[in-house]
Amino acid sequence: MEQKKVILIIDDDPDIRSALRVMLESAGFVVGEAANGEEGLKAVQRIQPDAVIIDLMMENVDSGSQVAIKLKEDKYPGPMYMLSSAGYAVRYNIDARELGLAGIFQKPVDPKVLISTLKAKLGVA
Amino acid sequence: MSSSSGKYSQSLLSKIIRFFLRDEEGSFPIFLHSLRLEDQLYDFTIIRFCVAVLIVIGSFFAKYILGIYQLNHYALILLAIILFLANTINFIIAFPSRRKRSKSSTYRFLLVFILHLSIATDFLFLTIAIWLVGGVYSPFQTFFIFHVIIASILFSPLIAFAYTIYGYLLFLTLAILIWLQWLPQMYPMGAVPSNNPPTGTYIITVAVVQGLLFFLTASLTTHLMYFLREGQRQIVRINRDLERLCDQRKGFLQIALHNLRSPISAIAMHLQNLLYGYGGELNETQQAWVQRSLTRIDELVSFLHDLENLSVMENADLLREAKEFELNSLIEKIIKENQDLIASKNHEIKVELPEKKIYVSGIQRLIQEAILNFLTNAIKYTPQNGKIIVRAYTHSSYVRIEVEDNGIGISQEDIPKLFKEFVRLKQQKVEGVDATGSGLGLYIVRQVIESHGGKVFVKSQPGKGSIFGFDLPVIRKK
Repeated sequence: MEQKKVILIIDDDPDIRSALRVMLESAGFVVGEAANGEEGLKAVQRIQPDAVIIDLMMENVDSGSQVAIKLKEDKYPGPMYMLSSAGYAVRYNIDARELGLAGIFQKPVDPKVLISTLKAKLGVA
Repeated sequence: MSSSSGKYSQSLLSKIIRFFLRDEEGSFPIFLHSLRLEDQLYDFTIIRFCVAVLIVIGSFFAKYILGIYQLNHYALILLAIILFLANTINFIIAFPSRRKRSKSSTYRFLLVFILHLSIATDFLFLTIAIWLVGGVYSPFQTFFIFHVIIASILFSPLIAFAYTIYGYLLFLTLAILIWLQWLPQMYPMGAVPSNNPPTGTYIITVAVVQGLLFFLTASLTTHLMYFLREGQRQIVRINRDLERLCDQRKGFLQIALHNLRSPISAIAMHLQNLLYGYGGELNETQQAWVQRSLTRIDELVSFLHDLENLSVMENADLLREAKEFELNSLIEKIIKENQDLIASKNHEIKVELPEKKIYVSGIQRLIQEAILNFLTNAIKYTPQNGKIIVRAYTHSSYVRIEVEDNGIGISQEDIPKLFKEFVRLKQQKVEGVDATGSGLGLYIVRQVIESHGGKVFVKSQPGKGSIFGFDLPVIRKK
């Protein structure tokens, strides 16, 4: 039996985390949560997720980018996705390529799009 | 009682002090009102050079053309030369090469000192000139009034009155010295009406009349200047208040937007989970209600997005922030970042970009928003499995960016309304299209593009699709 893929959600909004958890668990993913950038970086070390979803705006403006930069520096091997409110990625000039992101999801995230994107990236049937 | 009268006298005293001493910035005046001290001193120095030349020309003209033979034009020429030389020294000291000029308080103090010295010597030179051209009979006495007006315009009321008293004392001294015959009364006949020595009564009359003229002029001009400065101060104060209020409003908008966005996203995502049956299967009615709620939330999200853009545009300073950037990779980036939205409606997207990179100048994030707006509209207003083409090409000195779709299109009568503020068009019911806008998106695009020296356009046919686009001045690169 194929081992379930682990997704880490780094977002300071518990409701967003719980909504994403429901979406991802329904698609057969195992979900880990972190409420801020610092916790997120520790959680990556601890649970070694297959993919990370990071909220752009957490305790500080742009703090999601900082997490992505740190993970890229630490040579995190999995795909990283940014969660952004509509237009925020534009406003803060987020360069997905530069940050090593696999993509940006606009909030509110469409479950169908989220799941199909992650499954395709992680090679889940 | 005594305290209230004390209060009143204190307030009256402070009013008097403020009236006499306050300058434009409301701080201690140091002597000068001028905020443009350097420019004003420069102008006065140039005028003074002209006056020296005019004295020479005038004295020759008076003697040899008008025939005023008694005029001591050598003395006048000597006076003009001294004025010219003194002014030259002032000019050299006050205006060294631009490189050496500084904003330091020492330099400012030097300028203030030279200005005061110039005005004080002007009064003195004028008194001598008046003595040479007829003393108490001289028609040039009125030039004193001109100097009083200049002092009243330039300085605080206290200093202006000090100069008025100084000027008047000079004139009075001249009149008394002539009356006492300690100074000879000049009679350049033609310039003065009589060669009779002035009587005591005449001297007193001239002294009183001139005194009244001096002080009335100073009083009126300083009052006028006071009201002008008071008005200016009020404008500055109101402007500061308005700027503060404007900043507060912008700050409030930012906080409100941020605080609204998070809960709305959370609500929408939980509703989506409900709709997809992650919390158990919903019956048809429940599904319809949740779908309806999601549609309304989507409207709210796009309205917040437009408000956000409006606030970004309001805060943008095109002159300061404009930078050169490349469009090809920007368009590719926008499409990549919106793959999820495109995929959600299963649209086919085609990108047609020239091989040669296109460069424009402006605020990248605003141009990005404009392209994004066209793209998201094309996605939203095109039924499932639609076709969207994003293309860019140069024509003459412009780059044209177009987003073409085979969506629901817009009627000819609605097209002129599109780029106006808060315009929401009546939308026909089409399967797979359930979107309404805030009425701000295209208005913002037009504002952005026009502020960058460009122009927006739209071509559309109902049922066939639309092309939304804009032209921007292109930067030619070899």
